[in-house]
Amino acid sequence: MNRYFNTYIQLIKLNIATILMYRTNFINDVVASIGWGLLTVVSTLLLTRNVTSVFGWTGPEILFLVAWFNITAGVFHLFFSRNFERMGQVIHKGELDLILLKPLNSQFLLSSWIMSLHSIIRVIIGVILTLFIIYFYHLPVTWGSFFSGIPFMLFGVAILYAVWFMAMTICVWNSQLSNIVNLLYSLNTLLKYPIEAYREMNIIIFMIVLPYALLVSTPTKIILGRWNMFELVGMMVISVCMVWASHLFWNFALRSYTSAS
Amino acid sequence: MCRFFTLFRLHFDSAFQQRGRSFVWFLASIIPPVLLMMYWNSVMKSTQNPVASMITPAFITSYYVYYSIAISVFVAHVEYEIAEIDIKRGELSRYLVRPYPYIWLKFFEELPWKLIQGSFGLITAICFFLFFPKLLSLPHDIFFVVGAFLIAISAYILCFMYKMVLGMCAFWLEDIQGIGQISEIVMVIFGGSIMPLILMPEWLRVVCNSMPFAYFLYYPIASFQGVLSQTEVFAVLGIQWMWIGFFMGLYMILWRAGLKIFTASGS
Repeated sequence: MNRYFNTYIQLIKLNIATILMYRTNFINDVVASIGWGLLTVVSTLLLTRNVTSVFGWTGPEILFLVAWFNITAGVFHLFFSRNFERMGQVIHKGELDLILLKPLNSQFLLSSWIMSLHSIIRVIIGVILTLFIIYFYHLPVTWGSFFSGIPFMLFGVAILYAVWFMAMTICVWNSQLSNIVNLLYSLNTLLKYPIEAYREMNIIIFMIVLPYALLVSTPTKIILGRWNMFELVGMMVISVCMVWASHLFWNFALRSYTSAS
Repeated sequence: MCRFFTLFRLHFDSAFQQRGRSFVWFLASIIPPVLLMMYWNSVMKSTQNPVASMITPAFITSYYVYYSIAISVFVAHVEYEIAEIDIKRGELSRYLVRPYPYIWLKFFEELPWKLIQGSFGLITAICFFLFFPKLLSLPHDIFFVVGAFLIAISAYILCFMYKMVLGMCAFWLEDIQGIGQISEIVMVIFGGSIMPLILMPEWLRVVCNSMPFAYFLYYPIASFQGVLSQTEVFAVLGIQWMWIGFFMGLYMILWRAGLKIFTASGS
């Protein structure tokens, strides 16, 4: 455990050094992060402009959900998303060999190599927006309920990590499909809608999108005081099971990996 | 003409080999419109929502079904290849020694990908409307059908020219990721990706109409829905070609200035 912790600290230092070397790239990324964060809010404001209620949620509640989505997406992009972009290329170019030969778990190395430190800005924007929306629309939120949402936000990030990792593992069998990461970015749109939006769908489709449906909805409902035990327990169970499944799936996929060297 | 057809055919063979990648990109592009379709259909179920009286299920459903085709066909993605591979890595050199203008080579490289992705969209749209024929919305006259196809072709050329100009910025900038991302964000807001322009506030609609983005997304969709009048069809075509002329002129200026400072190394 110590070895992994020390390695992660070194990786953080390397990432900070990279930012200091390529400062213009970092500024570009910060601007893009701010842009994407504000886009989600602007698009939601436009969509809820002439709408009093949708999926049983009011306009301000939908806005709050989207602001919380920014925090969840920011945390996920901070720690993981760039690694998945890199994962497809690593497998395609045969560089996975170098990772497999290292005395550390390959899933850990693939998942933690790069940190998108500019995404901290998106998390900050998300926090400011959530607090502003609570104040401006007088939403019934207490500090206790607000902080209760944070552990479930982390469960949500774990679900997202598991889904992305399992999807990118497909590249082991077909390395040309490294653009699956673009599909995964697009699937994040599912997070901006409450779980009630998916209940009207066919049951099979609902079960497939259930992890995504719970991801942002559940912490938001906890903060707004609308939670139910089924969703809370379901989210915890799904997140643990999916992370474990991603580990099993990766080990299964490695049996099919044909080295390039 | 034969030479250009051969160019197209060679690039089509290469793009068809990677049809799996094209399918993944197509799937990535249809998720947002499907969710927005779901959102608006839920909004219209409640009569308390003012917007429920402004649109019909057929209009909004056909809008997003056509949008899923439009985003696959009309939106070119040449800028990162031009910036990262051609200019930054110096691969532009091999284009400079060829007997065709660079812009034509990039045009025929990109076109097959768009046709393949567009075919996925077309198949999806046909299957959808076979199950839900009442939600189909098409032009009602041959003039509008021809107009719609002309607007669609102009939309692709306009977007392609815009992206070529974006790619040219790499002659002066280390990294165009920032500009590229901002361009995508602006396209989403002002191109009709979030909602049709008729649902936007008046001031925002004026802003959208004064920028080129609505002319390569919203207006081709509206023309296939048959909601444009005869005058509007001509007006849209005129504005599209005005923007095409503008971006073409800008591209020529940037290309000539960029070549003067371009340096490539290696074999």
